[in-house]
Amino acid sequence: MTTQIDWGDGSGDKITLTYSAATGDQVISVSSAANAGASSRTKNITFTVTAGGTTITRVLTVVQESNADVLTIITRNNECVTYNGMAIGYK
Amino acid sequence: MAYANWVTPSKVSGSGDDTVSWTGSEHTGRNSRTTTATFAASGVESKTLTIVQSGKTEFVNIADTATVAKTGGSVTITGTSNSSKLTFSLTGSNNIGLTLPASYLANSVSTNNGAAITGDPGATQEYTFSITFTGIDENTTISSLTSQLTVTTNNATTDTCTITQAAGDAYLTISPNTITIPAAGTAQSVTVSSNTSWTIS
Repeated sequence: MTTQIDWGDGSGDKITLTYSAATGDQVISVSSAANAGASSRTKNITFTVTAGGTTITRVLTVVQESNADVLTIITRNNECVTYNGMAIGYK
Repeated sequence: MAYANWVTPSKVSGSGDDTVSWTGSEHTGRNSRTTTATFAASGVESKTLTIVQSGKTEFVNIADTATVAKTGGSVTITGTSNSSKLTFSLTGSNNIGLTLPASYLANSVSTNNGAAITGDPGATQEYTFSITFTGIDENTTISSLTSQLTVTTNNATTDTCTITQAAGDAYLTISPNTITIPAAGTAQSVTVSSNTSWTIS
């Protein structure tokens, strides 16, 4: 079984949860489209059971790391400076 | 000799020709019982009446139902019988997973399952018995569970008790609670533990 959940960040990307059945004990594989943005993104996914008039919820927080832009500058003095995910300008 | 107190005559004195009826209290023992009553009159030889009450057919009665808490523990089931021995067995599916105890109490005396009961109390009157199941596990399912206990007398008369364990509580856990997916989207694993169906949203 597969369930897809939108990241909700406007990218249209989905989180994909893959499992064999929505009951009992399961190991779920959680994957996503690549994050093309320069910022990480977070999504809370809720698991719910209802039985005997009782509802139980558990929240899985999914964080996807950013695909940060990397700019490396080597100066005349052979100093190496790396900018990771920062806005870069020049004079 | 006075007659036994389990019989009651309709009258204890009279004159001339008459009829006396005798009423017995309930007799629950297997064996018949006997008593004598003496009719006496002045100037004549007394006469003796022998009164016999038949025994009760061998029987066993056990509680129709018994309940076990969802948390498990123990349950005691009681009944009555006049048999010389009782044999307990678990019949049916035994969903609770009960283990039959080696002994039970008959007329307050510990008795091995299927063994002759000391003193054979059922010969003279019915007795109570009880059997206790201990170490019953918690019901970890969301459904009630049942087992059946059958008790059999020496003459193969049977009675059955249905034992029901209340449904357990639903549970749900996920581990870990937070996962981090690399920017490329590589899959990560989450383990869900539950005793029922769940939904994702």
